[in-house]
Amino acid sequence: MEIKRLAIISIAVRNLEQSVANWERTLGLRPDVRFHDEHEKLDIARFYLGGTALELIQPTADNAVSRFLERRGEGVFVLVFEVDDVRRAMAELREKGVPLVEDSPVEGMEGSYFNIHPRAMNGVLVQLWSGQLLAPAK
Amino acid sequence: MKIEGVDHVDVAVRDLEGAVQTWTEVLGLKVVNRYRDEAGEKINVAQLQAGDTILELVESTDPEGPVARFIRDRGEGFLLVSLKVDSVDEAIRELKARGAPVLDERPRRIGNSLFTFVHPRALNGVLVELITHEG
Repeated sequence: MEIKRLAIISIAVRNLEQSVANWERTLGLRPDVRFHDEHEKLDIARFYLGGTALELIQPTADNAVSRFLERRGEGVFVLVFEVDDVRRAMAELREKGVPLVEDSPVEGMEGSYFNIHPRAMNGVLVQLWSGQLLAPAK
Repeated sequence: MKIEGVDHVDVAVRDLEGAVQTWTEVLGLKVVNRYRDEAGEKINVAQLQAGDTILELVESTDPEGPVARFIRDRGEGFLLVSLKVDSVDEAIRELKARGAPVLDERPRRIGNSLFTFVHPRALNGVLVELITHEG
């Protein structure tokens, strides 16, 4: 398995509008694209910063992100790494006995992915993903 | 201030060698550099290459260091994201002018790298470092 890049740093927030205002007021960053991911039940504002994107995500239903917010508060929820073949990566990690969150790859809005359990990665939720990220809005 | 990209991310760990073994074996990442900063940040660091970005595994060299305190409060996990800027001096001036909680008056230094931090309260609980590499 080859990691091609750290594709996304995903930050759980309670209020997307206020959070977008925070990042603009503090760092002068404006989102390159904003969208709703109905599959994940998330509202997302994303900044493309070279090869790695940074995104703010607000849950729109009860899900893993809303539970994370209740338990830990706002902060980085997941690191998304790009691999060339998600199925092969999953088979390889299962072979090694690495604890995975899903039994088979999830087909999402921007590609397919699975997550490694944070207990195996020093408390970090690591996602391995392959697909195409949305283009910046014009 | 121009933000040029994500320079690196840091993960706070209790045992650096154990963490290096985990991240290299599970993800196949390679260690490209190591450094220690006992005087300033009190950290022992392994840098792993992930595409154009560096992932740093960071252990504390001092039980009262900032990384040791972070782990005591929150456990191991994501510590910070470092954004590459064209000038840290200019970034500090600009953030102060905006009333943003930047932690330093002057950039900190490790080797050829100049950096400062923005307080996580301004950025949804995320500790953001602003960094530039000289030369």
